[in-house]
Amino acid sequence: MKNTILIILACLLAFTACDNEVDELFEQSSQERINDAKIEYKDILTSSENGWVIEVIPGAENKGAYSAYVTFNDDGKVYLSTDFSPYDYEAEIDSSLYEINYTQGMTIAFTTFSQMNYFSNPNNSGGTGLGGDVELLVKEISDDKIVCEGKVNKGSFIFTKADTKSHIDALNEVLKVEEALIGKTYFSDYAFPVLQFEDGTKVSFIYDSYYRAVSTTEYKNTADGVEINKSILRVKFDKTGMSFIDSLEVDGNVVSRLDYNATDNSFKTPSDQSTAEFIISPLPPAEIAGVADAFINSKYGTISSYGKNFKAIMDPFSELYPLFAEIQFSRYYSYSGITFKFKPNDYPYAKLKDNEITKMSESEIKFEFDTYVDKYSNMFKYHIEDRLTTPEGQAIMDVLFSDSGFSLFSEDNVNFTLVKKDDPTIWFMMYMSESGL
Amino acid sequence: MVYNLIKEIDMKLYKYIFLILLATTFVACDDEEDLGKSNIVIDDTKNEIDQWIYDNLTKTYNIEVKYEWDDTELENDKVLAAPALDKVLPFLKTLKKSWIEPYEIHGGETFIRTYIPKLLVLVGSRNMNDDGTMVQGTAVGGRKVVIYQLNEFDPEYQNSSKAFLKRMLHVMHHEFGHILHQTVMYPDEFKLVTAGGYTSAWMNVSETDALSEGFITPYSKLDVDENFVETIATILTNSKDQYDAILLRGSSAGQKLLRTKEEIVANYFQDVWHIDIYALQADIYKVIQEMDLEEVAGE
Repeated sequence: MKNTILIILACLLAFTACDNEVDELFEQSSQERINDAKIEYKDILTSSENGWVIEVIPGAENKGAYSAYVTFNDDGKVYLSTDFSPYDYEAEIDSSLYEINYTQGMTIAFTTFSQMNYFSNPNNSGGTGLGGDVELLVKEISDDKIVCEGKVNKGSFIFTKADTKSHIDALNEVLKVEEALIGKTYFSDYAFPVLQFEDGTKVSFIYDSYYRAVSTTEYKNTADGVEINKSILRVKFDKTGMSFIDSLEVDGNVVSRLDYNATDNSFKTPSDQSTAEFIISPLPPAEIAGVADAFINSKYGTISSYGKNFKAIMDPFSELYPLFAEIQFSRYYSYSGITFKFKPNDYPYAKLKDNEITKMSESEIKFEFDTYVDKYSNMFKYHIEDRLTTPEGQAIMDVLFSDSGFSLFSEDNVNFTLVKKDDPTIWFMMYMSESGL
Repeated sequence: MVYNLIKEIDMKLYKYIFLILLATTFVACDDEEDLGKSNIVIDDTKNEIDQWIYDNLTKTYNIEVKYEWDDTELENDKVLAAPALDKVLPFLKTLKKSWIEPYEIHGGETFIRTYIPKLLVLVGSRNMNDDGTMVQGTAVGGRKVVIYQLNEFDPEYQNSSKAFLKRMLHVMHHEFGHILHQTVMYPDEFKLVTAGGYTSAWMNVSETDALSEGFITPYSKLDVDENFVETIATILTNSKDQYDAILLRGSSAGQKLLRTKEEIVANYFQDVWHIDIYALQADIYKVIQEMDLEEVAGE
């Protein structure tokens, strides 16, 4: 009898244990909450009257920021344009599909290829990508602001409501500021872009538009020579200037921003920061010991780029002789000289006196002319002397074999900047190597 | 006596209670209960691309095409990018004309519907390896084929795009060949033709050396299955004259071995699948030659 009662009680307990009416933390199931969140997120994304502007900082350490204007449509399409266009100074409207998903959290994903893929495209980076993301994990969301983190590379994506429908106009204003910086660097009279502080401190300042980053080099004279400190700083542009994502600090000077003044085409620090100005300097920021020897001991090189005034001398010669390709330097036994390469494979040259470059000081050299040489002359259809004694050719010769010689600058003893001593607006860069022809 | 009576009543009571409890368990198993609205929401709205895929590939051939970014379908250790919207339909239309339709004509509707890969995943970017080589396509289990580099397909440039299409068709014929031999194995005699020539270091072998050793491509030296499907893919992505010209690049001994393999492949297609591979080869070549990519893309 007792056993029967116990069995019944056990059965009752068993049924009690099977009660599935557990207390719910949420009124809805997780799937229902995800579905509701998708609807809510889509409403927020599509409801902004002027669309959104996203400030993107890619996940890679040395890639700068860009802004994307985006308009999300109900039909799953997003129209977008960014101020990052390394191949073009004009912003363009692009489109992609987008999805709101739940993966490691609520995610906004750009699901077809667009400008948003630039930093996550293996084609432009040897397969590795540049730290970009197209799947964005939502960390915070409200009607006015969305904060996301890239799912793979952990980049930062901050959405705020756009204040204009004219996205392209807004982006082109920003691109003009970037274009001004690039223009100052590559089309100025002088060779050395420098950030110059009020106290005289100078920092070499090279902007790389492909990475949206500035490489700065600080030179300090020490007992052992010049100490070189390099850093790469990510930047972002807006319509009034450029900002460093992490501030630049040099000898107690701190700079986080340069304002652009279109009237005098200048970049200067705001009044609340250390006073500094972006300039293009005629002289190297430091004299590097041994640079002349390093240049002289190189065996082969080419002129890789030049400033606008040397370009003005080179262009007429190129127009006169369309097969002219480039100027090279070679130091090969008795054939040392400045070579004028013509396509496809002609290499006549202006031979150097004694087959040597003249060293004027630790950082100055001079080329001294000896004679013209049409190497294997029976293969040439012309004589180099005929071409270089034309006014167009002589103008180049006057620069290369100038009596004043060149000031030399190089940080790596591979890329050398040569500045004509009596006219620093004429400069060119030579990429040199140790290997002979 | 009274005690026994009470005991009898108690026993009946317990039995009733037990039966009632038992009955409630069956009530709980009632399958007529309304479970309410499903909480799984499927977005079935179709854009122009989705609709074309559904009408021309899914409904007709049971093929699903994924062109939107879905990293679960791709290699985790690679950086890849999705295709651009304007590349998807032009590529799929040309692929249908130059791969599916000729096979359907020669193999029949049932054949193509049964064996065609069921999932096509499109990737816009290249798939780069650490050694600088590129993967042009991959296949998983005879079900899924992944095509890369779609963003480089531009029908406006007919020559380069036809060359691209030819490379992609090589991938499709290669992977489809795997499905076929995994369904009905090729004859053992194929394995014996160049039995000692296989190597995992196939990438170090030049095309000419491979041909001279009796392998149609360097990759076909990896193993017998790859050899078999590379032979199929090379036959079907070239005209007969072009195929003959490829063979001539190798030694005469290599040519002889390759002709033996070609004959086994042709017989396999004829005997097992009732397809004249040379007629299929001619039709595919004709389609590619005559196809105006811009016109097809715009259809």
